Amino acid sequence: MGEEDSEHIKMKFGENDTIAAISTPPGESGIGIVRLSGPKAMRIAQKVFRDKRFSKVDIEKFPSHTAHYGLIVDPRHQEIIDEAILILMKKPKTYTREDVVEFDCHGGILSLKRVLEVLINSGARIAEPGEFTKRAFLSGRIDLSQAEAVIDLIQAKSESSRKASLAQLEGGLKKKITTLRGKLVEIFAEIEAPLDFPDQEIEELSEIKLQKRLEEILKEVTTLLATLDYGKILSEGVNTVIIGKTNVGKSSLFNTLLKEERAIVTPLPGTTRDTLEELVNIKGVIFRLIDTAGLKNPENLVEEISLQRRGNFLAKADLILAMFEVSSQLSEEDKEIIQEINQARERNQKVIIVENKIDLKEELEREKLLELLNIKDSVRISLKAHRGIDKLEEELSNAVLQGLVIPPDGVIINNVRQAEALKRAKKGLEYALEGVNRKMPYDLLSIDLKDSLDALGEITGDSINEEIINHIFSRFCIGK
Amino acid sequence: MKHYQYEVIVVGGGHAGCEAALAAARRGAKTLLITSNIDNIALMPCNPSIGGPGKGHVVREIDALGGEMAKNTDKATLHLRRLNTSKGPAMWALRAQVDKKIYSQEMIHTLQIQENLDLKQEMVTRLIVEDQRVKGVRVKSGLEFSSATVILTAGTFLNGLIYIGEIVYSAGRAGEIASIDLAENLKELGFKIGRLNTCTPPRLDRRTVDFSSLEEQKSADIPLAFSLENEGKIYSDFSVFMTRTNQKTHQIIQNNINRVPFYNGTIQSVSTRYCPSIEAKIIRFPEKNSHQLFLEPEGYNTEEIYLQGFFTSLPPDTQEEALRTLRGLEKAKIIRYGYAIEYDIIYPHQLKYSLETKMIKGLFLAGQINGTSGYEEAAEQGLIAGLNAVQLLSGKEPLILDRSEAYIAVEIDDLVTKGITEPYRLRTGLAEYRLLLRQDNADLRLTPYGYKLGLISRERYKKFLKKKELIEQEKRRLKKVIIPPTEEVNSSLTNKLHTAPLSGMVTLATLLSRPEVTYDQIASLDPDRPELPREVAEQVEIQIKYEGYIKRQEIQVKRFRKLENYKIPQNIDYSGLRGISHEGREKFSQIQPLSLGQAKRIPGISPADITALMINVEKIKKQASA
Repeated sequence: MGEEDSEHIKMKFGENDTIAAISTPPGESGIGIVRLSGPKAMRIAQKVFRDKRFSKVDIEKFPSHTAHYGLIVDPRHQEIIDEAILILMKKPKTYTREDVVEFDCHGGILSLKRVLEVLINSGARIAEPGEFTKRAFLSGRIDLSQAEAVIDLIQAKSESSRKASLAQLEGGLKKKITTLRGKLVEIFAEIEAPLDFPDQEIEELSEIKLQKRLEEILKEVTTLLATLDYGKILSEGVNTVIIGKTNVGKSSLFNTLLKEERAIVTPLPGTTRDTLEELVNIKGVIFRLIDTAGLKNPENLVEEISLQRRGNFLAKADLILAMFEVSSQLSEEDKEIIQEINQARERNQKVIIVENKIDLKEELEREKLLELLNIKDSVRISLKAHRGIDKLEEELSNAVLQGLVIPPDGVIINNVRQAEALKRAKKGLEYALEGVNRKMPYDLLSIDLKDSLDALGEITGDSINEEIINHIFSRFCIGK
Repeated sequence: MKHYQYEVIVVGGGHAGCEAALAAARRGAKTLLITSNIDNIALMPCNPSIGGPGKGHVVREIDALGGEMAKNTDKATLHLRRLNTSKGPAMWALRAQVDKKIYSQEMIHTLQIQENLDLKQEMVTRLIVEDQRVKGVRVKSGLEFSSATVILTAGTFLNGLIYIGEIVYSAGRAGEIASIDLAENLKELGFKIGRLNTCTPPRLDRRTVDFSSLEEQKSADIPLAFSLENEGKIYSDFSVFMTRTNQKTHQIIQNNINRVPFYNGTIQSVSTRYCPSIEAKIIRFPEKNSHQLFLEPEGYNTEEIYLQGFFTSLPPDTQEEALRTLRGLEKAKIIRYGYAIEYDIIYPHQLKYSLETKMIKGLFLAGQINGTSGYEEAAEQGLIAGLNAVQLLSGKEPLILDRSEAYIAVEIDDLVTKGITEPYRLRTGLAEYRLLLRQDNADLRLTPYGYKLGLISRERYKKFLKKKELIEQEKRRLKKVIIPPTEEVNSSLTNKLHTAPLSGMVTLATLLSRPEVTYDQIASLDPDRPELPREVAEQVEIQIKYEGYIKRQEIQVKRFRKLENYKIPQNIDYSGLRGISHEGREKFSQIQPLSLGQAKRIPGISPADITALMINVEKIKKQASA
């Protein structure tokens, strides 16, 4: 075991570890918050935060309860992940009564996830659901009556959350993990049985068989682990923002994509269903479709708010559908949109260019548009004549699925906690296989297999690991 | 009625009783051991052997804490083997065949010459209890002996019933009187009583066995000893022999299965899965054509042979018939028939970790009365009960070890937390952290406790500290000495050690961490190696070779300790707690867990109950501090 691993594990189970979580208020503004709490919050923030000139800053010197604009970088290759506002809250006047650092980011879910990953790689631990609340309670921040309310909820919770998690896992994850765990338990038992009864002639598992069986499980765990991005997209939806100049056909596109007879998926918890935002299932991928207003100068407060919302949506988009019309030449508004597209691309956001109104006479200088956007092709449609919609839908799902691992059996994981448990299971299997290769006595392998078993059990709830305490407040939304 | 004043009274002279009495007396408590037959003290009513995986570990632990079993075994050994040597060091175990008579006589004498200890041949009929405190015992002759603590080690005597085929009779063991009054008394006192059973095999007449056709298992050819206070010895006078059952044997047993009390419904109580009777093996594993049996010597001055593996309650004629189908036993005569014994136990969830009962202050229980089986399991409980009786008398905290420290702790935690569904037998598989609980490091783990509690002499403790220091020194040295990849070194590695050549410089420690390389082997590459005692070299080798695994196990222990250290206040009224399920509340109030870790191990407790418990505990703690 490397120094880093043991350090990581120690930290993971240490008394005073620092936790991190995404805590985006659902359905609100384009800002996503990643929050750190714990004794190392400032030190960890320090590692990933740069000011706008890309220089390091001494966060501990900032006064408490102040906000600072800057960038979040991956310290391993100094790559910029997002721009963010850092809000520093020093203990004890914080929700958890620990040092708390918040990053208010612009990016969409995928980008927030990267921020979280960078924080974890820098020494934070992923928070359990409700762990911020748990810490608040344990530090005395929440009073007893509130705590009692929580107790009352627990029994209810165990039933309802069981149902919820069953539903969530209906896709087969639970079944799959249970099967994998069952296979491991079998191996574990076969290794253990001859150990305690040397006189009883129990046949020992051969090395080749053991290796083969462990490798099989390892392969499945590895595949499952790779489905995380896909799983998150499936469960949370791809934030897809439609932009384009006024009257280019944004709302028509929105409605067309919605009007297809595909069922609108069950609203996710916390989803606000306003007229601008709908969930839609296109070729198996869930898109959170967001219509936006055009870019004309705001004339009143309502329009001003609307414009601000548009900016927020754009910032957190995973995918942007940018519309142009072939029936007119590029306008100033189009050019502004082209600029926005190029900026979005710099932020690693995916963009699909849609040319609408191909049923009309073409006035658009297409070559120039493609050149300005530095792309080779676009999707050409006519909403009115209902042409090219299929192609567009295909593009939509391709854009999302590209580079993602899609499991053949459809089993996916969809949160970082499951991924962490799988990573631990994987590590245990790798150690065990290493032991087999080094011809270590079997009784030693069970040390690592037990770790794997525990980790898998955490996903299905079969084994209550030491972190069980952290399940206490899990009915609360993560982060708070 | 005349009263006798003692501080500790031990009832029963089996393996638990002996350790309990010795531990208490050695710590200076005025101690009385009462047993129904002085001649049968430290008797081995079943197998004439001590040790094995898990059990051998416990014997070493008893030794490190200052108990007697290891030393007494060394006095009576006939044959000694190291088991599981092809497995990892956690599995290595010693097992001794011992002379039953010598074992018993040596122990009796040790008790007789022990200061502060009186022996008394009497049958205890009831406990004297006032206000839920034990005050002493009353014996059959009408005498009463008073004492602030009593340790009950009744073995299989409580309402003992012997079964052989269709015959059933009352007995504590073969040829001994059962304790019926005491069993009744315990019921009256309100203890929840269970019933278990166990089987013993027949003893054969050595002269009627043809050993020439049997496979021989010799004693180890290297000097070995259980106690660290003794020099290792090579034993060569006795061997163990092996034979096997066959289809004919199985057929005979099958034909008579309805005469077996377990199969005709006469016995309803539970037997252990880990020591199954021969009839159980045949019924449960019909696909197995044959089962191994061992012929073990019972002593120097006896012709009796113990038939290990042939545990049975078949009727005597069938035992005889079945035996004669076995190779080498064609003409065998039985001296004592195998039998089953059924007895009362006190469900161990009624105990604290100290082995004191929750209900009656000063009353401790140890051994088979708690549902365990095995001499070693009994002995260690006796030792812990003896130690803790004295702790109680002197108003001190009891000795409570945790599951990462000793097999002793694994057993006691299992008993008090999980309860009993079958006779409990120790195995290495029960210890989550068994790589740390090795028989070779029992002294390193537990000597400080033994010394602190006054059962380990200053001299032995000093030796222990010296050993520890030598181990650390040598480990440090091996991690510093660098071996260059010269041609000479590499040829020695490939040709002599049969291991891969070096591609760069390595330390001796790195080289030693290769599974195929031993400490002795690398001596040739290590000219500056100091002269070290064998047990030091062994420790160094194990600690370096398995360092990666040991470290990972230590990380698991840290996780475990976190919840163990999360203490739960005692005397909580669980019925008044909110948010815990009915079943959870019932179990919590029955077990009264000391820590969140223990609470979690209670069978049938759900995650929701644990979390609710934690919140309640936080609330209680907060109110207490407010």
